[in-house]
Amino acid sequence: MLASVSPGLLICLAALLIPLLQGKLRSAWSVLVPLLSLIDLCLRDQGVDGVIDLGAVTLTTVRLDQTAFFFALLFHVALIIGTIYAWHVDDPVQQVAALIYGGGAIGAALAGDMITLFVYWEVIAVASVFLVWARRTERAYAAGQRYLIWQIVSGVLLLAGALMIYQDTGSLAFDRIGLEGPAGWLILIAFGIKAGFPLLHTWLVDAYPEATPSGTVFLSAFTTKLAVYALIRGFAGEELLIWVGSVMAIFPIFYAVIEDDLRRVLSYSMINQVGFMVVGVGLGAGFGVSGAMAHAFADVIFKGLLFMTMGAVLHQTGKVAASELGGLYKTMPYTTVCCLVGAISISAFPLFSAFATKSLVVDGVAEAHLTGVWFILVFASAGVLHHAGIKIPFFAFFAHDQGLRTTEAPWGMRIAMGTSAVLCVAVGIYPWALYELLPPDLLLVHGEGLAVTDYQPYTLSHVVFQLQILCFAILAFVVLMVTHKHPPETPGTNLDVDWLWRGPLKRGLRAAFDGPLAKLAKGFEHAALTGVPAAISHVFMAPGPDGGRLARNWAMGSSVFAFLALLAGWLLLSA
Amino acid sequence: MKKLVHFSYGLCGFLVLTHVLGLVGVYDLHGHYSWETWPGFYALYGFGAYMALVVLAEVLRAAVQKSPDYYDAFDPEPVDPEPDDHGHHDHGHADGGH
Repeated sequence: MLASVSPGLLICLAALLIPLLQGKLRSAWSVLVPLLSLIDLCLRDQGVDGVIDLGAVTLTTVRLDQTAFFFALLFHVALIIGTIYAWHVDDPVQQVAALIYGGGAIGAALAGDMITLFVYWEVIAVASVFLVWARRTERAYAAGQRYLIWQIVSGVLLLAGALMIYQDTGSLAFDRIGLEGPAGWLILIAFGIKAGFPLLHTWLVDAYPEATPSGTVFLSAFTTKLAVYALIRGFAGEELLIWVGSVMAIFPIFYAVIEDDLRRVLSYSMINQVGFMVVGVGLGAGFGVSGAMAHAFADVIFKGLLFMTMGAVLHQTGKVAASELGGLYKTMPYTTVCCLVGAISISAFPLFSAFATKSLVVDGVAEAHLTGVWFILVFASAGVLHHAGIKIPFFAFFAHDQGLRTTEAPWGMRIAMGTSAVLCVAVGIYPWALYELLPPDLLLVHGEGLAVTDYQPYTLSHVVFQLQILCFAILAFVVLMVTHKHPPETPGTNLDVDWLWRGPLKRGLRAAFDGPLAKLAKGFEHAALTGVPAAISHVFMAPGPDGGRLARNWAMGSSVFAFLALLAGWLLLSA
Repeated sequence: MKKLVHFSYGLCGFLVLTHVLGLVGVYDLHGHYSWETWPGFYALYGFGAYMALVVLAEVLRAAVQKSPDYYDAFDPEPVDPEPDDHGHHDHGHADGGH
């Protein structure tokens, strides 16, 4: 019986027991649950399970194939490391939210139909925002609200697209979607919001740096990588994604250079890394999808590691701005070493993880003769070295000593950072263990098929090329530092496209519509409070006009849609 | 610090040397594109990309960087400066722990 229930749902249910526990038992339960679930996942047979027959629609809550297994495994690993990192946290809100968030991501990765996907899509939206709000500052509260609006909009678009597809094809299966009709575009935007596509990315750099130190570690692992998984399922091989991914790989690196908050630097860096994955998804089967998946794995570990080290710094010093930090290597040597491993890994030095994963995508671009994209990605690689490879460790732990004297982070944090650091090196030294986990696929090298497990990142040419680009970029940094031409880190707010709704326009709109808008917000609030029970009864009671199954599902779909639109509107106006 | 600087110079010199060794046939040096094997291509691209990034980022900084509390001015009401809300400045409060 339990065997046919989605591991994601089991984790979510287990999370609800946390408030009943006390003290360190809560932390222990948080680590134990994903550990047991991981064993459960590995013992399961591949195939379809947990089928719920609702008459017209059949929900497939567990679809375990190699791709789903890969991401479910990755999310388990991230959840285990994250909960160990958060061992010292004594805050049931965060502990429940983290488990439900991770469980929801696992449930979504295993979803075989669009409705199940949608439900988990919303679960992770709601659960994750509590990791932002748990910081309990005004800034975090406001950023969390903006974050939630984006996530809800993403869910609404996904549901609308899914129902349109159902109307056309009679199927809700979560398989290839494509961009043939408007439904495909709606779903692409839904996925794109969670992946941080350009112009749809502001929630990420807005909210992630405002979350709690351990909250950001969870946030960095699940939402964007789930979006990459969804894109692989629905849109692999769509050429548009190559261009979208290229823009994602390049524009955030400029923001990362000028950003002072080191966790916001990492948030921009995350869009940059997801950009490489999106390019991979756009390339399609072979190098592209294999590269996107492998790099997603590596990124969860090394980006998680970097967020963990910055979280440790924030936890110990209360500061995370480059302009306020420096010299911490004296009192936090262990964290410094872990941060350096993460920095070297993300920069793709040989023997570290990204070297063995990012090169799949870059080689795929070269094999597809996309010369322009290739130049962009190589440029972006030098950019990664700047903000993640040098800026993060240098300004936090070295640079000029700011006189901060502290101690190492709690031991849970240290174990989690150490584990991630070891994984970064392990993947770099023996990437074939990771390639074995990928769905068997053929890489086209000069027109000939090569099994992904036979891919060889460590050719002497590749190592020499990569070291040249990285070391000469470091040389540029050294030259700038020695000649005192390197621009100083300056605190400030860097305007992004969200200036449009957070800046002067907001004030103007508020002034112009103060009266009516306030009334409208009140109206929405009222409608939401009275409308929710009505919508729920509508879903369960009302048959369609002809009593037919399709009509019944449409009634359900439209009322859910209306409810979510209402909720989004209410949040927007009260934000 | 001086040692590190010299080390980076040495490393870059060594890498150019390994590249040349490949070119003269000590090992098989190959790339997807012809320019990948040009001596200095990756070195110049890496160095140039880094410099270009720093310079262009300064242009961006001039264009978009405002004061840290820029957005606070657009809030409907001033942020209430309760002492509790600044818990993240104190050691140990950053996780919102009790």
